[in-house]
Amino acid sequence: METAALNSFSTRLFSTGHRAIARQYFFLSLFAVLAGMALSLVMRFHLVFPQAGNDVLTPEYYLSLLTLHGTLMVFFVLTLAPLSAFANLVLPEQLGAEGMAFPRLNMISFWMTAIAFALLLASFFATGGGALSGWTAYPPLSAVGAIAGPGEGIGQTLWFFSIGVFCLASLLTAMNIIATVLDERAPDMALMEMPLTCWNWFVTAILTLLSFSVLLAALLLILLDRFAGTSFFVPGGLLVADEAIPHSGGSPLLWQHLFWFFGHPEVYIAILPGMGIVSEVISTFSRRPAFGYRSMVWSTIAIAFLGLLVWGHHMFISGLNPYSAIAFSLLTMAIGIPSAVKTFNWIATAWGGDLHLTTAMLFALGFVSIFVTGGLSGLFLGQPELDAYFHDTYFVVAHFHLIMGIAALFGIFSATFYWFPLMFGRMLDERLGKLHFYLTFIGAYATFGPMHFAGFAGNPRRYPDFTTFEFLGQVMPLQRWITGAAFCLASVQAIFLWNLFRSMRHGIVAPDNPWESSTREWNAAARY
Amino acid sequence: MPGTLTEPSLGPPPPIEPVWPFGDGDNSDHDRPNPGNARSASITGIIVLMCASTMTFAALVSAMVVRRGLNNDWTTIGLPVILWWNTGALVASSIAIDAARRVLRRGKRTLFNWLWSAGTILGTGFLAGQIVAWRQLEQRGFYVSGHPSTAFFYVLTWAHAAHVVGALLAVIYVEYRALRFQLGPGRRTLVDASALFWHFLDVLWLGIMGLFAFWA
Amino acid sequence: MAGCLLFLFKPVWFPVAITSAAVAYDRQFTWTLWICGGIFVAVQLLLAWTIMWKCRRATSRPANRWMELGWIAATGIVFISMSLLGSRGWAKTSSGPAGKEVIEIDAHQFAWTFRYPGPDGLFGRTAIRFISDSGGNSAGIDPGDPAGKDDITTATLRIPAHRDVLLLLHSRDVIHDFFVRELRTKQDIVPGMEIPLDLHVEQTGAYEIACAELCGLGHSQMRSVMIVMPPDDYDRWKRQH
Repeated sequence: METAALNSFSTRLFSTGHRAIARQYFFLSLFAVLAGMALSLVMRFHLVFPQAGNDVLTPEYYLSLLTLHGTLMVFFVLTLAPLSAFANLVLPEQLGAEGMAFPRLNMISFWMTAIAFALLLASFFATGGGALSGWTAYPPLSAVGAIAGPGEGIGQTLWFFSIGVFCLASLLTAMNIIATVLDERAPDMALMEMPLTCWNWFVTAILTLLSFSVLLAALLLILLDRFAGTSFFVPGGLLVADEAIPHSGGSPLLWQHLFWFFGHPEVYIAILPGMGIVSEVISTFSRRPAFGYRSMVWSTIAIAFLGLLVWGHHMFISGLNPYSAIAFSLLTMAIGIPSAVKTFNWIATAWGGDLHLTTAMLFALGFVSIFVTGGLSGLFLGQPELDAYFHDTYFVVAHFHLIMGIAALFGIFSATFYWFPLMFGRMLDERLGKLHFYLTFIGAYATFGPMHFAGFAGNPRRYPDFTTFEFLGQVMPLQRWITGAAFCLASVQAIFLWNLFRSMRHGIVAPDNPWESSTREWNAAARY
Repeated sequence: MPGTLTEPSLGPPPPIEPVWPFGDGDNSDHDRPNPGNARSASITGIIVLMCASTMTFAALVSAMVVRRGLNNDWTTIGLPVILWWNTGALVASSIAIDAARRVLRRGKRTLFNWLWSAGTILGTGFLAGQIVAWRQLEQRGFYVSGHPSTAFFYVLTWAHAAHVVGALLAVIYVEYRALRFQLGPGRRTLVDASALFWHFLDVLWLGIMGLFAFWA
Repeated sequence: MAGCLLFLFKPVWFPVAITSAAVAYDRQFTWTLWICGGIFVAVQLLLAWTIMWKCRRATSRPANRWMELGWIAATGIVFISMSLLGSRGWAKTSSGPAGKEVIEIDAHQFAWTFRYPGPDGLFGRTAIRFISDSGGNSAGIDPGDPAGKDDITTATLRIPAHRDVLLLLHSRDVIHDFFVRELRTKQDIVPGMEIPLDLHVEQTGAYEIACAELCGLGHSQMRSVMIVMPPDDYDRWKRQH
């Protein structure tokens, strides 16, 4: 028996098996989401108790927490878990393939991601503090170095390197997924016969390809601004902290264009895999094929395509030409159309079906509910006139937390409950799962619903404290409620963690196809 | 070792092992995608990389276009003459590599070796020439930080050169395999993939040269 | 059971609107709120109904072309018209300083400086080497420029009501954002650019100015006040300075 070689630690650590790599990504994301959640709780606490721990929770510390929270969640949770983790878990089997197209590159992608994670943590603990320019890192704040603020020295530099490594890892993952879908598919499966999950991963991988490469270009330019004295993004005549900056001629708006050309597709990268999972779960637990398969596929493609064209809606009040703003607005609203098509198709799939309300199904239905809510608030922000008030207020924070923080997360939860048997050979506890779902669903609306009102009141975002402004005094009761709800929502997640870790060892052993699904990953040959 | 493992027995399911967030020490630690698809998968992979690089360069070029229109501080760089020689070397290396690729299809390994070696040497010459060009620019006082036009020139040529280094490593690896006569009509995916990427870099370079010679 | 939490969307949170543009904003907002609210209630109820009405038999419903086209068309019309309506007021570019009260705003880490041209109607030249916050020259006015001698520099913004005002927004270091809630608009201030913002305020009063683009550790400390004065009071104030 050759098991001695197989069992060696390094073979297992650097496994090229897609299931193992999927589990690695899953646990990296889990760690990131718990860290990000802890950061958000510290932030929420500070906002309503600004005096407590003032020597530690300085404004710059708050801002560095904010930056790390956003970066962890957007990159290391929402780009990793729905795509890298779950696609690696089931994509090959769903396509009837023997494995991912490039197993060693797959392993390298994961370890590069882990290195990026380490760099990000290093940036937070760097001397001078962590980067404080938000996950969007707008120059000149992020480009002129430590004189713009604490954490803008080595902290910001390490942040840029972390994201750069992450970009490269993501590009390799995208390459793997695309090659697997195009070339490793079973001969009897045409593209228009692939499960919707595979379609969504495929389109997401193409989006990744097109957007992360642009971020890489932007990172290259801003690092040169920081170290080589170039002026891509830094205009002339700046005086920062009484020091004249030697750069000249650059444009901060150029960064915004490049960043958001990546940034907007990034949020679709975060949500599309979840949509695929929801399609699969709803159809399995309604005992029906998905309604309108072709329109679902075309909607996914439409969302991805339009998603590449709407980056300007993050820049309505940045000084854009107003005519281009109108164009961006029309395109932004147009994305609502394929999104609505998907929503109606999900409901139509479930309508009149033989519904089995398992936890995975509950999370999928919850996804639909929250996606609608969050998507509708996007219709406000897509109109430049309305965005002029809501930009950089808590209304935007509510919008993207509902869509990314909750809906996309529900997609991840649904996938976890659904595919847990393939990850660990056991079932997650359904009762705990349902309890977790209901409490999380209510907690999510309770936490992020009131944030819309804070936005109505004009409460700006990224404020370390609310004590300076009179009008913010009126919003404080709302903020206290939000903090309370956030703590409740966070503590409810303990149910999930308990369920997860307990079921890994002591859950019911899973039968071959526990959900009686019709997709191929459940075939007996594809064992844990 | 592949091919020597016993099949899992069709009896009761094996006991669940303790769970680790990485491999399980069994057969599932290695993906074995269908080897018949390796060729098409590799070509797809190279095309994906080409798309990604194209997007990155497109972003850099669009940044350049925007930057040029922004202020009146754009100065046209006089391109060092050696850049034209480098262009010639890169085009010649592409021709040699493509010719090599075609003859390998017909099984002419020795001719392939000559042509591929020529391509490798010309490609290395290109890189060396780039370094000389950068030195010459610096001697003339054009650093990356001085003017926006030179900044973009350096950015684009450095990015291109970084890609060339990677591609050259692949080309040299092919050279190594070729000299040991390990390649042939049935084992040429590596050759085709590297050649494809090399041509892509060639076209990219022509684009960059055209941009700086005639527009910037 | 996908319960929809009904929460009251009362726009009581909005502060008073003080310009006609702001009033138009509130109208557009209310329209959007009704439309989106309607869609929200309808879809959540539909979802809830779908889950409640569970059939034991799973019928296969063929994809109904007309139904699909129907909801695509409906959403298309609603969304695109919202976009067009929401962009109506947007394509106006500033018509220049003629006939307006021109005030310069200099944003910096972490305070606001406002500059008036004084009786000669001209702004003095500025350069960053003259900037001295502690020395009272936050705008960096060149002492050798006669046009700058009568410039008024303040820490609060005073504007006349019922008159056209043109704000020229500058930043000397990083991106800031001029935000007054009652105006229902904000404008990013990008260093290296001079960005005009036209105002015509109808209501007097004092309104807080906040910075709405992350600018560093003092981002939440950048507070000032916009005091809208009756035109006569404003002229008197300008003369006295």
